[in-house]
Amino acid sequence: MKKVFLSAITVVIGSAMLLSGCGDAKNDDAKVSNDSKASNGKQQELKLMIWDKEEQIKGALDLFKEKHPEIKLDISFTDNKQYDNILNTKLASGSGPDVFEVGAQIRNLAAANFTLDLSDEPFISKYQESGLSSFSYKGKYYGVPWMSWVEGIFYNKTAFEKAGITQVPTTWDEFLQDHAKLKQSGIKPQTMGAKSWEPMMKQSLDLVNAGFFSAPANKDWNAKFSDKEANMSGTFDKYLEKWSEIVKQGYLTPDMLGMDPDQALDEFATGKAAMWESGNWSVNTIKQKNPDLDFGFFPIPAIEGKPWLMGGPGAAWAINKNSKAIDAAKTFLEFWSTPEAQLAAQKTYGGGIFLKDVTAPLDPAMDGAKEALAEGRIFAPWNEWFGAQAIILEYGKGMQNYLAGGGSLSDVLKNADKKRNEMFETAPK
Amino acid sequence: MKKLTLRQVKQELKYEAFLIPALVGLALFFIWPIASSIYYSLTDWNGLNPESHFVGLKNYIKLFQDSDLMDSVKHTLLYAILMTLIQNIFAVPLAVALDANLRTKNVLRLIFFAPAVLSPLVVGFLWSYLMSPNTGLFWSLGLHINFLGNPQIVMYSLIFVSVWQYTGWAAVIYLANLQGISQDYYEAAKIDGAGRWKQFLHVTLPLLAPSITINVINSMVGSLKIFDIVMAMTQGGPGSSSETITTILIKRSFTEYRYGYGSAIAVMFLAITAVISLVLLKYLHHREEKVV
Repeated sequence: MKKVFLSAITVVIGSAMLLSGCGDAKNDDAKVSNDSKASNGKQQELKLMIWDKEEQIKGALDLFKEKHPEIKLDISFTDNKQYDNILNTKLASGSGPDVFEVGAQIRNLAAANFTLDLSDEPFISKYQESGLSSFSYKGKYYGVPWMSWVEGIFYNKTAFEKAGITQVPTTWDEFLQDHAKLKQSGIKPQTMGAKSWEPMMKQSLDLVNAGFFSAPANKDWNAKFSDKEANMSGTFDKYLEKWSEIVKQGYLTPDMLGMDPDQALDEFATGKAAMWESGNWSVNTIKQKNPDLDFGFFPIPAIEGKPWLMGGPGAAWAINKNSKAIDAAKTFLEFWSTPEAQLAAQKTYGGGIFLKDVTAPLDPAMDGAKEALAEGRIFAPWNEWFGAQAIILEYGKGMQNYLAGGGSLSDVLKNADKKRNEMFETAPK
Repeated sequence: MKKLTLRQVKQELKYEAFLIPALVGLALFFIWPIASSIYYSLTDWNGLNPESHFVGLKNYIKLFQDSDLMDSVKHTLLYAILMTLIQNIFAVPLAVALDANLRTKNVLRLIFFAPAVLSPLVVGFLWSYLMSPNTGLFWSLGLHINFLGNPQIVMYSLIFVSVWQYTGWAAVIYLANLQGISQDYYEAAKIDGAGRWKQFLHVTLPLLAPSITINVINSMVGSLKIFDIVMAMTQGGPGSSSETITTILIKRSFTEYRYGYGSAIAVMFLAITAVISLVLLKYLHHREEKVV
């Protein structure tokens, strides 16, 4: 009996020690952070969570540390693939960061009442509407934008000259004719890493940008779409039909479904293909791969009228509604909304700035985007949809099916509408 | 008599007390998550809102209306069955060959086992470069097959890569078993006039039964859970032609904010895996017993 009792006690104590071992570690951590607070006087801690690497906005962060020594930044980087998962779990369990990077998921988070309404903050009025609308939900603003991404077509100037093309195309027909000329001159006209579902999704939706969203009357279409009052099917068909000529004429081919975007970049940078759709973030990589490449950029041609760029604000800062450091968080956002902070961040992050009256030059290789940017011809419609990520994924995968010969374009649109219906169901009423 | 039973009980308790730490771990990291998955699968929880509503079996009914999911079940079963068959069909002769008295046998064993040490992500990226059109190795050798971009081929490309990676690993388990087979059997077979093929068929193969059980169950369960190689090589594409149960599960739960529905997929997946494993295990054990 004694032995049994003893061994039972041993086990209990043993497991208790295991558990308390964890507990001690926690306590130690708490002590350390308390100590550091004490030694830094009244410094307040502000927890930031981002998916972009810290180096990409380092200039701005350093400037903030310099200007606001009373606030200590605690920055945690989480890879984009895991970001939503971890952020959602943290927010749901009440241990979320004070300020965090958001994209299209902002509407889901706002609907779940996790983010602070920033509509009445003075710094909001410093931004152009085009930078804010992507982070609004039910008429209120929940995010302060970072820089924009700008996507269009990169082209090899030497190859264009050789094929006798003197002007960059602005209409889809000219674009197709140029493909023919390039092919004749012995170069692959366009390459695409269609193994990713993104490029075809963006290229085709950009024709919708120029043809449909350019009309002021269609400005509220996206909100209607989110509310199940408007459908892609029946609205986007004619633009996709026109876009599909590039597939029917054999310029986008099924073999591209096996190519990664990186491999497409390779083909373009090494002069094996004359055109490649991508954006401002690729400029440096192209230059690194081939410093001698003479290349330029133009907006994706439109069916008629002026061509549009694909793009917009890719990320924003949002404040956790349940944060205990809301004042410090607002100080940070106010700082972010100053020209010097934006310019410091843009140096490494790139892209266009959304502050009113501040123009920041893009890389000279992107000069072809200037006119469209100045006229505000840039848009990414899904930025205003509820459950956007799931819908563009469905759309993009449908486009892959189409290129593989396995489905029709009207199916692509119908399935995207169907996915929107499912997303609508998950939205709080 | 009564006293003895009590002592026996005490004796038993003494040993079983040592199970408590493991049991706590099992309960915390296995039983509790499964129980909560089952609970969430009956709700419409979106992963964010603290509150969720009980929706009964609605999520389970939706499973059968989700055509992408139903396709992914087919892809997963195709992958798991072919992978298990091919891997084991190759691994047995490979093990026999590696068991032969070759001078290079240790080097060869290392070479065949090496791929299993690599992360599936590394292997996936490597092969997707080799298999890519225009710039890939196979393409430049004149083999113009769109391994990862053709919906009709893509699943077989994934199976090929997995077989390449794990056959050596299965062979090592067979090898260990082979070395435990007494030479006496072979001598007896020889005296009875059995050739090499007959020896393999009537001595080696039956006596490999325990390792066949291990390998078949291992590769079947592992293949049903296939995720990393798909993520590294195709992300479920082109279209949804290489989506598997796990990739759809992740998409529905995290991309679409449908944790309740995702939990229902997880529960269904658990049931499929459990049924297949149990049936296989029963059959293979039965076979093992027959040999003994």
